[in-house]
Amino acid sequence: MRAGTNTREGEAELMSERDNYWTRRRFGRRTILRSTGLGAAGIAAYAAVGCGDDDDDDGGDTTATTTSTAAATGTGTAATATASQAVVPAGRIVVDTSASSTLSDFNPLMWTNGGQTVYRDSIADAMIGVEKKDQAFSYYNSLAASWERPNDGLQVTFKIRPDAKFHDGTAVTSADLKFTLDFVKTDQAKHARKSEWTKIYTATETPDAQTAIVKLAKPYPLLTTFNFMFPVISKAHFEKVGFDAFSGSAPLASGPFKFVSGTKGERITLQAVEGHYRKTPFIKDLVIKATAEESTRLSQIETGETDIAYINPANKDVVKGFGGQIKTTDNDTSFWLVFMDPYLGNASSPTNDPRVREAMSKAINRKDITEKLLNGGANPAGSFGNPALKGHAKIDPDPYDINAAKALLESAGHGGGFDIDFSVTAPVSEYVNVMVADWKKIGVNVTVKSMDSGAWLAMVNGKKTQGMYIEPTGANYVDPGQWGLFVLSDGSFSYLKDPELDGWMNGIITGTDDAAREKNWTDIQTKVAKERIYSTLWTSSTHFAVSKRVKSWDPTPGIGYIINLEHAKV
Amino acid sequence: MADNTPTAGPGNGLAAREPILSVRDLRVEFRTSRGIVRAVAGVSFDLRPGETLGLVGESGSGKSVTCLSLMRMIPHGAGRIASGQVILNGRDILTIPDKEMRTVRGREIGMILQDPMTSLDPLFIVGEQVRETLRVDEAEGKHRSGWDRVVGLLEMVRIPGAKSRVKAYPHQMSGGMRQRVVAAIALSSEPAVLIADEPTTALDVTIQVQFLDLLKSIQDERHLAMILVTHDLSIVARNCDRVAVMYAGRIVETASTVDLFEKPQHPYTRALLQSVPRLGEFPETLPTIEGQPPDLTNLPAGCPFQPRCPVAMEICKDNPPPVRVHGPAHSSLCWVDALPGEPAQAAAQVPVAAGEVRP
Amino acid sequence: MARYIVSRLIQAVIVVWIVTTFVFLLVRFTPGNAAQVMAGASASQEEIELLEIELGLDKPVLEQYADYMSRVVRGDFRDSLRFREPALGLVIERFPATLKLAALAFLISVGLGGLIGIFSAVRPGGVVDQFGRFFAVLGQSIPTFAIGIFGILIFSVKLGWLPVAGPGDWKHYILPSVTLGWFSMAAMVRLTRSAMLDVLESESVKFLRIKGLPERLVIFKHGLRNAAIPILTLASLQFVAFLSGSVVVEQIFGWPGTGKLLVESVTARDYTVVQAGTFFISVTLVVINLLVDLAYGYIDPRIRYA
Repeated sequence: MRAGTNTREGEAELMSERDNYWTRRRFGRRTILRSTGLGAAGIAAYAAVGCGDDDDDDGGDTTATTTSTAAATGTGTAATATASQAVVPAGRIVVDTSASSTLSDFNPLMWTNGGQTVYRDSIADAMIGVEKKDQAFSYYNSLAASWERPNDGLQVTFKIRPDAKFHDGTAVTSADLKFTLDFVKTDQAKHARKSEWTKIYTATETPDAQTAIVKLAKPYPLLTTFNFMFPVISKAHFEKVGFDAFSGSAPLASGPFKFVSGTKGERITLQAVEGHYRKTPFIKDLVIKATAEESTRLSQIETGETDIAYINPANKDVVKGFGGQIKTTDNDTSFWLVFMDPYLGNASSPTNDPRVREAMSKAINRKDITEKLLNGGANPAGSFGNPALKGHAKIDPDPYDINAAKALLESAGHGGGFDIDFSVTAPVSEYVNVMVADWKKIGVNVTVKSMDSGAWLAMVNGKKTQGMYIEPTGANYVDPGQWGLFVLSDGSFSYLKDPELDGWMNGIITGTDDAAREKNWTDIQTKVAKERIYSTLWTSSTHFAVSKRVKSWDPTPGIGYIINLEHAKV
Repeated sequence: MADNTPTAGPGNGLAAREPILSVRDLRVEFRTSRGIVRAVAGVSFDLRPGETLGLVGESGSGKSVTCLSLMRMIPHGAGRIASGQVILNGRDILTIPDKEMRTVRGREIGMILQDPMTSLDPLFIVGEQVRETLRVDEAEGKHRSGWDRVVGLLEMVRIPGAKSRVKAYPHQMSGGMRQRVVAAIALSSEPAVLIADEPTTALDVTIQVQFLDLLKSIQDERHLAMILVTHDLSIVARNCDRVAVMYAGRIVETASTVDLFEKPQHPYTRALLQSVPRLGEFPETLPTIEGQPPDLTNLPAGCPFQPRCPVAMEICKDNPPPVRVHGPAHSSLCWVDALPGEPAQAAAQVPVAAGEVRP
Repeated sequence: MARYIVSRLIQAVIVVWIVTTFVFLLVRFTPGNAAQVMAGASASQEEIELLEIELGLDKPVLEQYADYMSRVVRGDFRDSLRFREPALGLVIERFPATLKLAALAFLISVGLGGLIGIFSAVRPGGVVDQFGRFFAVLGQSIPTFAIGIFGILIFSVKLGWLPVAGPGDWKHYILPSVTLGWFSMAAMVRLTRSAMLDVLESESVKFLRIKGLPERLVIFKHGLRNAAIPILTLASLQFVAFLSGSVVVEQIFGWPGTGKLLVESVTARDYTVVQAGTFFISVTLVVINLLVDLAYGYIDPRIRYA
């Protein structure tokens, strides 16, 4: 009986499942926030915009961005609205974000966690968008008709599409962009990036309704790459209804779906915007909810009560069994083991020796762990970067070889083994136990320190402990520049101190030559992999279950969230 | 059975009256883990209006079970009335439907239980407990159920301040008062027969007399036929017209009260009387008789009293004793021809089944 | 009676005070800096400090406690860190959903279970007794979680009669309330059966039958009321369990109630909501207990006049 199997598997995999979701939630949040480090790095401008024709059949198209040595420019022609108007939205899609802490605020600018991405991407357009194009991750101009940035990167000029409209029919103007960018700085917004943005952002000038010149104290490449950060909201409407109502019951933006109703933390109902300037959705109604229980989500996918939901990869076959579809993103989240002692300056720690780190890495059975414990939802990896990004270094993961590991320890003078701490969040994942058992085989006694996730976060931020921990990140890292947090010597979450890495990373952040930036990124990944202070373990993919009703929808490579629902059909 | 059963005249001059209640060959069985218990093994008697029949015997002799079977109140599942007839007001109430039996209870036969402390529902005021059956009857067009009638009933049982007492809860009343309330309830629908199952056992000695006097006066007023179950021979002497002595589910001797006390025939009756120090005194404890009380699951084939009988003969062991008639309305169930000092009357010629008494 | 009520009220206030103090201490003893934990991993030092000041964490503990208690008295638990709305309001807003579910579960457990118990006692060994007890014990022997999942698989996925989860019309109430109520039903059947048996075998009920009271009144007027105190005690415990223990069911069925809110708030470290929720539930429980105590007095005059 499938029912029984389903339940049993669900329970057996609860641990890793929880881990994955926790990771997702946490990363949705941290990824953005960690960019704080970028500001401190003294960044120069760089351009990284890949735009092109919308591969959908709605006729909305954007043209490729041209870049030059003098200035980075993004240009896009306004969508020809004729094709958009031909679409008459019909049908309904119900999306389940699983994570209970989603949907906590209806103001798309109030960034609280990654689970809200579904909502934010549906209700609000930013200047730049991300999508799947030619089977790869890609940028497109959304509200921006074009944008331009001088070489110093200290200002960005956006030309807003003249046909862009908010859901109340009013035009999106430069004043709205200015309001949005200003709003992030306010205390009221409690925006997670506020402190960083305050340091970087100077002001926005609005010479005319379509032109916004954003003045920056420091270059800030995420302004033109990280679409989720600045969804544009309506100034007039915000001022009319006030902060509370905008957050609680009356958000207004310019995305392909408009707000109908919602209960915070429970459910949001949206409706397609007919004749949308960019892309009228095929579906009419969009419901976003969050069900914590995987069995329930699966059942709802089967009955069609839910159309798209996150699932544990262990349940792939169950979904296929009842005729549902499985979609995955390609290794959007990477996990790496961090050796903290070199950074903390613990001179006595054996892990200061690269041979010891290599030995530790080679004693990890990545293949068995990913296949058996993570149900194939992850793949052994050698590079810690997101494979969806340009410049990804294809590095073979360390092979599982106990003898080689022993020999390495021997050559480093630690043949007799040593003791080390390993900080992990509770509950301890099964793979941690497997790793500890293998390390025991090479004589290393690892003490697992399992801690509450709050205490763990405090530990990581404060860098107060020694030994090792596992860092997972990714899911919505859309630009190599975002890894500055982990790579730069003064990156907020970095345990690396390497002038060469700093140089390459600064080159990525401030460079304008795409090829050079890509090479820098490849070099960084290669060197990190070789040194193994970060020993990459595996990259995990996000799995989506899609009901039979859904005729077409694809996740965006590298983005572990349900987005681009305007392209979904039922 | 009933047709050839002689109906003996009562001993107190009420011979002219027809019995209001006739019990014939009543048998009640209980199924227990140790076997079938014949708690009542063929009991027959008559009761006439205005008459009080005393039912005497040790505990376990079948007195209370006999009374409960007259009400058809043998607990469901555990026991059953195996056979017999209970003719009340001309019909056999053992054969009427359950629903009809409900209207017999309280209306045609009333009953007072032993312990007034537990007979009343502690959660309802006594007035309501008096009134609720009246209200059911009123719905059927019988009595009025107004509070004045409830007060009247409480006054009838001489409850002082009855008007205010109707609103009292049982726990606010003494045991004697509660038993009066029980009597008021039992008599509220004016039954012709009242069964009082050890009504005073739980009461103080002085209250006992008052209560029995009260019952007596009500009986006289209403010409009530009464069965008074007791183990107290002094109560029998004071209150009963006739007596039936029970042993192991059988009536072993029946006689007018005077005859029984003056000319007891059955060895068990004699033993009972001997165990009472002096007539007219109230014993503090149950009269005791030598030997073990009978084991109802394992009775001897012959006379059940035989193992304890001081005058037992060989024949008693294996043969059920016959009925011996000693005078008008006086008979016993015994093999002994004539106990010392008493010439035996002509015995019944045909031996009858064990336990049967034909008064 | 007045003294009875007043003494119960004083007890209730003390219980609420202890619970709120406990909740206060709970947050004090959170590992690490409470403000940092609340602000989350991503918060800058500046943000953490701002939050510390906002939450008064920079003040002496006694002063914090006094401030906290004065807020509690006013029903102010600060805003939810997640939703930026008054925390208590969020809890109260979600309470009706939990209450409705609890009421239905209560109807199943206490209503149906109680009826089965009563009829089992009236005819021990009868059809109701045999089947009813089997049905009830079945519910108790399957974990709530499994009942929910099997219910979904059978009635929603296979048969398509009922929706899988989420709020909605009456059909959405069936599976969650049965899941919640069935488990507790067995205990209610057993208790009602034994309490009723005790009562029906009592002398006072014997006397009711002797006086010719219709069986209907014997059982439902006298029997039930006499058995009511243990039944009421268990019923109130079950109701409380349904209110506070519907967490599993709310999680399985995506039910937008307080249980789900609290679990999510714990996960999300939304301490103000956890505090408000704990306070609210404890007050609810105290009120229920108070009502039950008063009901005891109403049912049994011996308690009332004691």
